[in-house]
Amino acid sequence: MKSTSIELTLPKKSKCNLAGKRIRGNLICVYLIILAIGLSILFMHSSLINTAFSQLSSSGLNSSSSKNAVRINISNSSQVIREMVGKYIIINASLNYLKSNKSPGNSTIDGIAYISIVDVKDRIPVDLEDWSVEKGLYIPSISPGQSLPLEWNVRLVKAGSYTIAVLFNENRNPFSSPIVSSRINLEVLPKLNLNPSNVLPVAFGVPALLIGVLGTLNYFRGRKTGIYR
Amino acid sequence: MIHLIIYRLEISGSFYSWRGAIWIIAAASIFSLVAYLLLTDKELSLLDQGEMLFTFSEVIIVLGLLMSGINSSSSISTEIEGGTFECLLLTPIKHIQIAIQKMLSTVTIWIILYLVSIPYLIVLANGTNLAFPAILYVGLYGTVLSIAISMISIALSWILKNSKNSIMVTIMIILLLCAPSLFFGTSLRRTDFGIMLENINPFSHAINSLDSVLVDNQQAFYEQLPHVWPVLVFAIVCSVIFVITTKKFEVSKY
Repeated sequence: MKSTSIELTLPKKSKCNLAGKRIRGNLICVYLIILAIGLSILFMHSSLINTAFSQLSSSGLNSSSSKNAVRINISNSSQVIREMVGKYIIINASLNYLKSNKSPGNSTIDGIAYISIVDVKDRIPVDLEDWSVEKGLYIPSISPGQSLPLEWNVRLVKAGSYTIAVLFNENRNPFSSPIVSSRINLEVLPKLNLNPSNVLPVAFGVPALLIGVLGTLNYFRGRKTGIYR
Repeated sequence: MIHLIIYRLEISGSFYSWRGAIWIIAAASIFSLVAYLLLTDKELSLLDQGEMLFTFSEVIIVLGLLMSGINSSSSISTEIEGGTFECLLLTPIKHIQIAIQKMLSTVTIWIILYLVSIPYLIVLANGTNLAFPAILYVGLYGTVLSIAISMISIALSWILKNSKNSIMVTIMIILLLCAPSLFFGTSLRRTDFGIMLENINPFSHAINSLDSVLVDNQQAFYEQLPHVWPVLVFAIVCSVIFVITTKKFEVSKY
């Protein structure tokens, strides 16, 4: 009987072992999953830090312009310009290359200064095709401590509300962000074109006069020949 | 006065009735529409006054050339088709005089059209110094080109002896002359081919001269001489063709 009891208990022990092994295996799997999640969080975090560092470093690159101490300002007297459609306005700006201890010697920079007009109501930038003949001005060189006056003649094509800014792209550092001036507002007022230059009297008067003259001539000729009595 | 009989007949035909004179009212209405649009349209009114005057001058000259061409290209062929050309040749007037009187009647139509356009030119040039140059140069180029087109159209009218054909060929010639200035894009005009066409084309010279006077403000006559002489040469060539052709007016030819 003992032998049978032993025989009976043996399978019980092996079952327990099997169950324990399974539990342990499952636990290992859970640990591995947790480890994987943890590692992935760690990698993600480190990559975020790297990105942040890279962004910081790139902003450091961008800040080269600030190192150069190039400033651009719109020098119009008023912050808001109000004018009628069809008129010309002049946008004045000044490009300043401030003297800096960090700037190496008398190194000059070159670049392009350009004007940007944004339609506030339509929320789109304006195509300057009809607005300005010269959209961009190439600045061949500006040395530290120098200031350049810039000027744009802008024709007001369409009524609306706009903002105007002037930008400068430095050529020396192709990856730097442009230097932007502060914005000014432009209010373009609509124009009523009912009778400019007194065109209406001429536009209606000349054909009417011709009809009158020809009608009179025709009438008198008709009376002479006996058509009209 | 007997020598101007044909001229007077032709002119009275253009003004005799409402139907004969409707072209003046139609032309004045076209001028009114163009001038009104140029001054009042939201986008067109943003053009400089010089550019407005230039556009309007183009309209006047093209309309004048079309009217001169169509009127004179049917002048001889209509007589031939109506069987009245023989009577015309039997009158005691030289053949060249018949042709010249026909041509003068066409030029008179141009002059009336030009006179009608003057008030519009003055209104469009309001406030600038461009009114007088516009009137002067439109008159100069319009008259010379109108005479030249009239002469070549009368010659064609005699050569083709068919109104339909002569009108079609004349319109094609006028369109060919206008093509480089009116239909070619800026890029095509700047190619060697475009420049060559503009250099040999009298109409292009007239248009470029008007552009220079009205848009670029180069109003001195000596500045326009490079454009004036090609137009005059074209008129001389047309008059030579006109004289040679009209000498051959014969009864037996048709």
